[in-house]
Amino acid sequence: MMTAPNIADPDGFYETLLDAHAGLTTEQSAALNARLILLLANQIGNASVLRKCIAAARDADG
Amino acid sequence: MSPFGARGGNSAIQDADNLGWKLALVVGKHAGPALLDTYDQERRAGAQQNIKITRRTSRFLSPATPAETLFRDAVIALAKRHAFARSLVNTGRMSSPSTYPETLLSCGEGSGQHLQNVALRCNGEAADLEQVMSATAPACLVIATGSAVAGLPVLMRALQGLPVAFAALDAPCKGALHLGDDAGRLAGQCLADGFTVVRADLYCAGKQPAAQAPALAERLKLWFQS
Repeated sequence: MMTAPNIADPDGFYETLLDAHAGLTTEQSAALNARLILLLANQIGNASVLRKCIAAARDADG
Repeated sequence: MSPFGARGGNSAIQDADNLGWKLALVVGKHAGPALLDTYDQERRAGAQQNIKITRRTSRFLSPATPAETLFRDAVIALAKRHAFARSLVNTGRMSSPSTYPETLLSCGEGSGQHLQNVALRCNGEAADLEQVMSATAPACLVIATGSAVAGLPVLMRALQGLPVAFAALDAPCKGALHLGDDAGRLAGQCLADGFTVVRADLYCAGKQPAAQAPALAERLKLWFQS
């Protein structure tokens, strides 16, 4: 799993992400996030990297 | 167990396939009761694989939490336009033969894998692998290919008197079945220049290179000493 910065334009990406959620209800935002996770997961593909990302996300929550 | 993919019926047939020949060997006093322990080890693993697969289907068809519903709906929403999401749609997976763990019966690479039944010629007559097995091999059939055919007589002598059958693939060998495999369908499942042990239930018990004939004989004797 890559944790070093890899996004070319971090502020630009973040803004694009927030803009995608503009005007959505909490439920609609959650649904968008779920679709986005699935699309991004397919970009990664590698099962071990995906497992590590899921574990890291879960960790931050706990 | 949830019955998706006709798993109830299929796994029952696999249970019977696994147990039948072992029970026959034990009842016929060719093997000790420890052989039956492999039934539990192998079919328990098969049941666990089935439960794992059907539990995944259940969670897709009938999500148990709001988060499970969220992702199920996301998959369905994406599936219309994106091929990758269609692979996540899980309305039941087809039943396929289980893979078995290492047991007393394992004697090399490929053990626990189910083999495809294929059309052959056995001593010149048309027969499929399953027919060859049921007619000749109460416990297993050792198939020799290439340079291993020359080592087959040694193996046959070492295992004399045991309910094991022997075959040479696309080559003659005195005292062994002559399997003709023009289409190469069996050869593709066997070790080249080696021995492949096919169990009575059409599972591979293991593959060994020609030089390992003595070690293979010792492993196979364990089946019957148990």
